Amino acid sequence: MKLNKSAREMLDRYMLGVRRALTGKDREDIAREIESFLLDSLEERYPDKGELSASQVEDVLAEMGSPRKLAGQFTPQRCLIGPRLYPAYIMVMRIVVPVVVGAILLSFVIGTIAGTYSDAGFPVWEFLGGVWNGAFSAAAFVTLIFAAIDRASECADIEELKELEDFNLDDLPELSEKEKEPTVVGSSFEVVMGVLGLAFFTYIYNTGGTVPLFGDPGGAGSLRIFTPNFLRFVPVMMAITGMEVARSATLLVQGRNSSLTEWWQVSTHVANFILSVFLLGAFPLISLEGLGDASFAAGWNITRIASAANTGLRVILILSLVGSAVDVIQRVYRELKNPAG
Amino acid sequence: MMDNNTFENLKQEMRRGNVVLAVMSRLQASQYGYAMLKNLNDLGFDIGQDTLYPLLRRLEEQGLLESEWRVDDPRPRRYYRLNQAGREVLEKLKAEWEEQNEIIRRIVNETE
Repeated sequence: MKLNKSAREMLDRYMLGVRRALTGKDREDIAREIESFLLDSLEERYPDKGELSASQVEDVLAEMGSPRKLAGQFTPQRCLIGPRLYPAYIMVMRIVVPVVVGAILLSFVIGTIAGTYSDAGFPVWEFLGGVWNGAFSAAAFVTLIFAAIDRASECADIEELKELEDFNLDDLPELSEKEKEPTVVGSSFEVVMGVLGLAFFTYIYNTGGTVPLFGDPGGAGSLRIFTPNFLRFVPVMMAITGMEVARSATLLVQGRNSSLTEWWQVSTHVANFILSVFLLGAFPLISLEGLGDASFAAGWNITRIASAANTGLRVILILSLVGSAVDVIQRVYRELKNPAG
Repeated sequence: MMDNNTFENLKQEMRRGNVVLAVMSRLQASQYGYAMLKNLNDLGFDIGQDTLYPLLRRLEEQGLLESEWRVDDPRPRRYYRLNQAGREVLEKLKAEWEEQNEIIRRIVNETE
């Protein structure tokens, strides 16, 4: 039995949907077994056919239901949530938890910008505790709700789930999305750069925006790069960078994009967007105070250099603002139309 | 009057207890999932993929059967087979099933 090109593509798209719906360490193994099962089903249905067409494959897939439904049928039974509700449970969990974490992150960003924490400094432990409590409470709440529904409707069909279980060709993910999967090198690079960024922000925050002038042969002066306006936002930048590092680490562990990492990225980009807006209203951010004292900079017009640096930073922030907005719109649209699973 | 759904649910509940015995009995020789599914259904034992495949994984996790991917078939297929521990458990389950069957038969006949 062979599949023609369009039939193969349809099966590959279905299997991509199946892989996205599976979780756990046996994910790839279960996916292989599902593909083997589908090919056996096709062979039984069309024993004498040389090459199968897309419509023949579609008929069999329609009987199986959505990729999410079939993936749930092959997954070992969970104690609290049965296989009937498990795919919907995972889908809801992957949306609710990141949204709650994102909302908590935003509340801290807004709180920091509004100066709520200015006296005692940024409450790192309170922030981490808030994120953990929020994520845990959201997960527990969703689990309890689904467990209750599972028990209350043990044998009845749930109308609201039918749509999730039905096969719909338009809902299958495009194969081109496979190419967007993260690489180990890329994710590792993001983690390393993020950690370096955190170290830089910590250093800048502790030194009040000042760095030593090692390049000055005439003396050991120091250069204040950033203004107090900029320093006010450093804790927020650290929180956002921390979220990005954690996301890249999650991608490294998962080895693929998921709804969790996509919504996570949306949250950090929304936070970035808000931060950029506030930074644009807080100029000047770069001071270069102290550079005029260095012997190698004698004769430089420091005021003009600082002004140019601020203009450059303003342009970068505007580009970042537009980039964040475009990325958020693209990701939200893609996730709503076709969840990464 | 009892509706058909209630009867179907009770029937499913009764059958659920025999699924493990039926599946393990077919695994004394190597079989892949789809063939076993067909085989059991052809024998009159109604079972779907949503029951069989999770059960196979559970039995494997419990150390009662082994599996291997064979690529010499027309396409890669995962074959399952009982191991020594599985065969021993199967023998005990069979004996238990015989005993329970006898008890149930006596209860039902006495009641009639």
